[in-house]
Amino acid sequence: MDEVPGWAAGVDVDRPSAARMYDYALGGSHNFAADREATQAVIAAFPDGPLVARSNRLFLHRAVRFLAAEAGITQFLDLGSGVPTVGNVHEVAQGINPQARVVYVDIDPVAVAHSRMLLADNPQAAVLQADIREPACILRSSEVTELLDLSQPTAVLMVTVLHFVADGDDPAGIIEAFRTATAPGSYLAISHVTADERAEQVHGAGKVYESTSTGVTPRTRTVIAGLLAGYDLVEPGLVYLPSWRPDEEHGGLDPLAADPSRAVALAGVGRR
Amino acid sequence: MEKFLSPAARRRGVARFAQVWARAIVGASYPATDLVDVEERLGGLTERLVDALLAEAFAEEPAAAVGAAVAEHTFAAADALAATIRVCGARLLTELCLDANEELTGRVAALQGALAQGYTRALRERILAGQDSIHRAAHQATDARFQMIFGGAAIGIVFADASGRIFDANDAFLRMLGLAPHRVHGRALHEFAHPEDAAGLRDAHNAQRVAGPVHLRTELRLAGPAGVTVRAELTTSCLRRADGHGEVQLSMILDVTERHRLQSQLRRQARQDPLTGLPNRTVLVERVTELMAAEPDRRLGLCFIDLDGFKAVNDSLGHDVGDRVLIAVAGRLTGALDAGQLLVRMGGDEFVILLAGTTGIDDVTATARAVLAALAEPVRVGDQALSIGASMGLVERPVADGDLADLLRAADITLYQAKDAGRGRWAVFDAERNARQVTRHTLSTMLPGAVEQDQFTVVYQPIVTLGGRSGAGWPGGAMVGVEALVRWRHPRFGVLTPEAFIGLAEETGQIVPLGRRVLELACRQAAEWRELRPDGAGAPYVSVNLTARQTREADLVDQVARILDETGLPAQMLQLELTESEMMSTADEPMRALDGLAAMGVRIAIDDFGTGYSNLAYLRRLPVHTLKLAGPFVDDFGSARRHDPDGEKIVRMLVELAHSLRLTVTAEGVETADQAERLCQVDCDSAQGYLFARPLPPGEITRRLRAAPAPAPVTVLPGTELPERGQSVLLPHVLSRK
Repeated sequence: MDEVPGWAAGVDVDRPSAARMYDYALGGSHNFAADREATQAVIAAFPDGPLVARSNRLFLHRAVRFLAAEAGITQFLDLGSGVPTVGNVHEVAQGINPQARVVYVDIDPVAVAHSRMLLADNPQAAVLQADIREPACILRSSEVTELLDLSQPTAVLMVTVLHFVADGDDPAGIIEAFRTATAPGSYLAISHVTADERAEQVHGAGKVYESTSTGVTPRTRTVIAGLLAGYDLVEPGLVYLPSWRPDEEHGGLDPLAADPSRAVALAGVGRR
Repeated sequence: MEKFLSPAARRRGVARFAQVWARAIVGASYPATDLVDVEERLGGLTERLVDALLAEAFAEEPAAAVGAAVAEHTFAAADALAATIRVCGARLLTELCLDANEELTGRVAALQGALAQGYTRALRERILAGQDSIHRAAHQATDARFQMIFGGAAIGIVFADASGRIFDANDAFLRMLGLAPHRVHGRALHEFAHPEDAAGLRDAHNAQRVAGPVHLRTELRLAGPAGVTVRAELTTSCLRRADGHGEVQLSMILDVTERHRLQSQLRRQARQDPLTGLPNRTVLVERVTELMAAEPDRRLGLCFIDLDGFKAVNDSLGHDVGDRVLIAVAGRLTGALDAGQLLVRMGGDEFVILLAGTTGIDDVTATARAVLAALAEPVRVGDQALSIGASMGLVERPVADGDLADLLRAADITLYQAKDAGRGRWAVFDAERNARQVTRHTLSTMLPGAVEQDQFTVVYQPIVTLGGRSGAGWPGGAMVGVEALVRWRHPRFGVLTPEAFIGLAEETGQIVPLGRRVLELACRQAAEWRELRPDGAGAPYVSVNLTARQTREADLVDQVARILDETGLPAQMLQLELTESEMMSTADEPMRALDGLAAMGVRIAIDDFGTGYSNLAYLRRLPVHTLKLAGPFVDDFGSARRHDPDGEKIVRMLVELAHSLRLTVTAEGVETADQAERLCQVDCDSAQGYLFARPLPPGEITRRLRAAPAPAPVTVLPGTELPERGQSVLLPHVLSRK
C-alpha cells in the first residue's frame, strides 16, 4: 500500500489486517478468518503474542488514565487505533473526564467503519481513515480541526503503531510533524516493538507479519529514545510495557509483570 | 441442613469471595476497567449466587444469569469462565464459612453448571454480535467507497430496477439535466431522452432486461426540464437474476455536449469564412463537384469578384477598417443574390458567385450588374464613406466542360482582363482570346518572377529506336533518349506549355536564366537515370532545346561545361537542339560556341529539319550530329489512304543523305503505327511521338527504366563507322538493332 492511498486499496476481508489481528489476539470477535489464521501463525512463532497484546492494552489504559487524571489532558489523537472493541481510549478518558474528546485514526477501512458504527452517538469522538505517514492530511482533516483545538494541550497516542512504519517512511519526521503541530504542554505516548532482547522470537513473529499484513520494524532502545527527541519523558522513562507505572488497582495485573522483557515492546510518555 | 447465615457473616463472606473472584478473573481476562469496579460488580453477582445457594427450594437457573453477566463484564475472555468455575468450587463455601456438606457441594456444582451454561450462551451471542458488526463494518467500508464513487463521479450514474424504473441517480446526473431527485425516482431513463431518441432508448433498455446484451453502448441526446439538451454517451449494464431477467440496470452517462459543440464548430469553421460568415472555397468546391455529378448536362456560371482599390483601403486606413469594409461588402453582395446563387469568399478581397442552371452568359452579366449596383453606394465605416468598386470575371459554360480548377482559372484570367481594361467593370471569358493575347501580355510581366520563384518544371518525352519492332508493336522500341520539355506551373493559369511563353522569354531575355535552369534540371535528371544502369549503359541521353538568343551568350560553352561538371553527366549524354532557322541565323561567334560544345562531346541536333529554308550545304559546315524530322514530313507518312509517295521519297533521301554524312535521324510527332512502320522502312534511326509516349514526368521515366530489362550489349552494324565528331556512346544505341 505504498503507492495507493488507503481508501483506494479496496476492502479485502481475505487479507489480514494488523488492526483485526490485534483484536483477535486480545480475544475479540471482530475479525475474519484470514485475520485469525494470520494471528495463529504469529502465535506459533511467538507464543507470548496474546500476552503482549494484553500487556500493551493495559499500558494504553494506564497511559490514558495518567494523561486524563494526572496531566489534565482532555484532547486525544489516537493514531493506529485499530478495531474498537472494549476499553477504548474514549471510555477510559471520558470515564475520568466526561468532557474528554478523542479522534481515532486508522488506515484500515473496516476498523474505521466499525469505529464509526460504534461512535455514531458519541459527539465527543470522531473517526478518521488516514495513514499515519501523512501527518499533514490528518492534521488538516475536518475530524481533527472540528473536534480538537490543537492550540490547547493534546495527547498524541502512537501505541503499537510506529513499528509498522518503515525507516524509509521517516518515523522521526512523522513524530516531529505531530509534535510541532501540538501546543506546549502536549504529550506523546508510544509503545514500540524492540528486538533488544528475545530477538529470535521477535523476528520470527515479524516474518509472519510481513507475509500476511503490514511489515514490522523493531527498533533498539536508543533509536526509540531518539524518536522521542523534543519530549521530556515522564517517570519511569522508556521501559518495557509492564514496567510503565504498573497499577494493579486500575486495569489489573499485567500477565508479564514478573518478566517485563517478555513484552518485547518499550513504552514511554513524553511532554513537550 | 444449616442454611442460615447471619447478615453480617453473609456480608463479610460475599465481600471476601467477590475480592478473590475479581483477582482471579482480572488476572486472566481481557483488560477492562478498574479492579475496584470489577469487585463491585462481582459483589452483586456473588449476592445472587449466595441467594440461590441458600434458597429454601433450590433452583440453579439464577446462576445462568450470573454466568451471562460474567461474560458481559469480562468481555468473554477465554479464561474468565475457567477462573470463575475454579473460584466457585474452591472458595464459595469457604469464604461464607459454610460446611462443605453433600447438599451444599451438590448445590455449588449445580450452580457452576448453570453458570457455565449462561456464560457460554452469552459468549456465543457476543461472538455472533461481534461477527455481525465486523461484517457490517466491512460492508460499510465497501459501501462508503461506492458512495464516494457514486456521489463524487463526474459521470452520471443511474440505477433502474427490473421494470426499468429509476431508484437511484447520482448528483452528476441530476446536475447534468438540472433535475431534482424526486423528479427522477420511479421514472424510466428514456423519459429524459430527447423526444427523437426516447423510443429507441426505451426499446433498447426493455430488450436488454429480457435478452441482453449485458452492456449497451449508445450516443443520444438527453433533455432536461428547463429545455437543456445534453449530448450523452450512454453505457448501460444489466445485472441479471438466475432466471435470466434483468434485476438492476446500471446506466453511466457521460456528457459529451462540449465535445460535440467543438466538433461542429470545427466543421463549420472549415467551411465558413470567420470574418464575413460567408461560406468559403471549400463550400464552392463541394457545390461545383455536386453539380458535376448530378447535373452534367446543364450549364453553370461563375462571377469572380475582386474589389477595386481594397489594398489601398487596407494600407491607408488599416486592417480593421479593411475588415469592416469586407463585412459590409459581404452584406451587400448577399442582398444582391438571387435564389439559388451561392456567394463565397475566396480570401482577401475576392468573392465568387456561383450560378447553377444558367441558360447563357446573360444570366451571369445580370448578376454582375446587380453586384455593381449593390456596391454603387459608398460603404460607411465609422464616419467614413468609402467608395468600393469591383471588377469581375464572368464565365458561363456547360457543367461538364472541364473541372473546377479550369472554371476558376478561366474566371480568374477574365477578372485579370477586366482589371486591365480599367476598374469597375466585368469581362466575359473568351477562350480564344485567353489563349492568345492577354495571357501574352500578363505572362510577359510575370515571367521574371516565375524564373526567380522557380515555377518551371521539365517533362521528358521518350525517343525510341525504330529498328526493334517486335510482336509487341511499336511502343515497345527501346528508349534511347528523352527530349526535355519545359512546363510553367503558373499559379493562376495552371500548367503552360513552351508555345505560350518561350517566345516571350526570348523577347524579354528571360530565356537566358530560364534556359540555364532547364539545362540544369535536365542534366541532373539524366545523371540520376544514368545511376540506375551499371556503368550508365543503356541510360537515355537528354535532348534540350536551345534558342538562338542562348547561343549568343558569350559564356554558353562555359555554362554547359559547368553544369555537366556539377551534375556529373557525361557530355555525350547531352544533346542540344536548335531549329534550322536558329542555325541559319547564327553568326560566326555563336558558331564557335557550337563548335566548342561539339568538341566537348555534346551532341548537336537540328530541330524541325525541313520546315525552314533547308540549306543542305550547311549540314557539312556545322557541327551537327542529328537531324530531327519535323511533323509535316511525318504527317505525310500518314495512313495508306493519305499515302504520299513523293513525301516518302523525300524522307528516304533525307535519311540517306544524313547517314551519308554520318548523322542520325530522329522523327518527331509519330502518332500511328503506320507512320512508324514506314519510317522504319526508310531506315530512320529513332522517333518520338504520342505513339510511343507523351511527355512524361521524370518519375514515370524512372519507373520505366526500372521496369525495362538491362540493355543488350551494343552492336555496331557492319559497315557503319563511328562518327568522326561526337562520341560513340550515344550513337551505337541509336543504331543498334536488337
